[in-house]
Amino acid sequence: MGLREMTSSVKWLLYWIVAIAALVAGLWLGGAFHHTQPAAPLTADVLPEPRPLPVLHLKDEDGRTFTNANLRGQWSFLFLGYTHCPDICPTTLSDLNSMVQLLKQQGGSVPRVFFVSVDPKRDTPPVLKQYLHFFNPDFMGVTGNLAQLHALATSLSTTFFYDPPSRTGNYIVGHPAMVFLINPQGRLAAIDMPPLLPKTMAQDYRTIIARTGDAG
Amino acid sequence: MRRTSLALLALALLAAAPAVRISDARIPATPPGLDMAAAYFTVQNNTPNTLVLTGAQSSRFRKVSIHHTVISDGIARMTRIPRLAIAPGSVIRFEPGGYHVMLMEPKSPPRAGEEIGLTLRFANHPPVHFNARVTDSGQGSQ
Repeated sequence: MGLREMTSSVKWLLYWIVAIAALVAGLWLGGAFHHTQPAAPLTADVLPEPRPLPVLHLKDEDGRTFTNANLRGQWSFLFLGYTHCPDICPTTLSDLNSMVQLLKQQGGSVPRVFFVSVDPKRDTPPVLKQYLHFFNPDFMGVTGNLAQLHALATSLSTTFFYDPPSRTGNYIVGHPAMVFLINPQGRLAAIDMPPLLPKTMAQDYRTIIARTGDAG
Repeated sequence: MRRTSLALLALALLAAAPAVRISDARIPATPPGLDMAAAYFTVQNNTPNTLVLTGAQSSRFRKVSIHHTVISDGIARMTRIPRLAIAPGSVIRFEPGGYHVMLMEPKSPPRAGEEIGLTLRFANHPPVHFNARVTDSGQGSQ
């Protein structure tokens, strides 16, 4: 091997060393960033500062009093709807159930789900219980008087209203399409806007509780 | 000769394809005691004309109507759709959070796995009959 060829081999070797070092450094930096940055951008709207709810005095599906204390100590999802709702409400409850099943499979914190009926006239506690049991026996129905329900909706920056009844007395209720995430202090922490995708909701939930460091 | 046979083949295919094609028809099962459900499906208008959908019916339900859910400012509202135009060659999806056939007052509750007959009525086309499968929408469905 001549001197010239030898210099050429050394040069190639140096190139390789630099290339491999760069690759290792890149992987290391990438790994470091991967650990410090959140896995995915959030789809949910997270409030910069969790917002307190008004004083609640509602009834649950077993007829027991439901107050702010029932929302403390654990993360909860609230969905405001009504049982005589053929489209959005069953779809959302089914999606919330899929989200809960996903979180259960992944292990870790599993939130509670409360369905707040804004149609107390038709949705009595027994009606709510039977309705929610179909989607998930752990889901809890809650309702109350109109003043209380309006106060809750207003604190969540939303509303609900009734359309005029049909000839047979059936009426449609306009209600929020989003789902509200309440933190273990009983405050509004985030809002999931439609379209509600179980996978995305589960991912957002895990990211949000990891950020706050409070698994409830 | 070749062109003629191609044209004949195209005609045969057109004749075989239904003028109004319904696919993916389903009714999510409803909780016991509830007197309403929704049917979802895809309608494809293969006719050369704009079809005007005017209503739906099912022998299983006493009241059937076409509704549209609209979400504005975060509030979901349903409105009844008396007439829905479907342009030639176009597809309209009836899906959660959008168009749906609202099924009220069932003669017996829909059960997961069964097929329920539905009919769409048009202002300018004969009625279209199809079956929708009742799908499990409770716990365990993914």
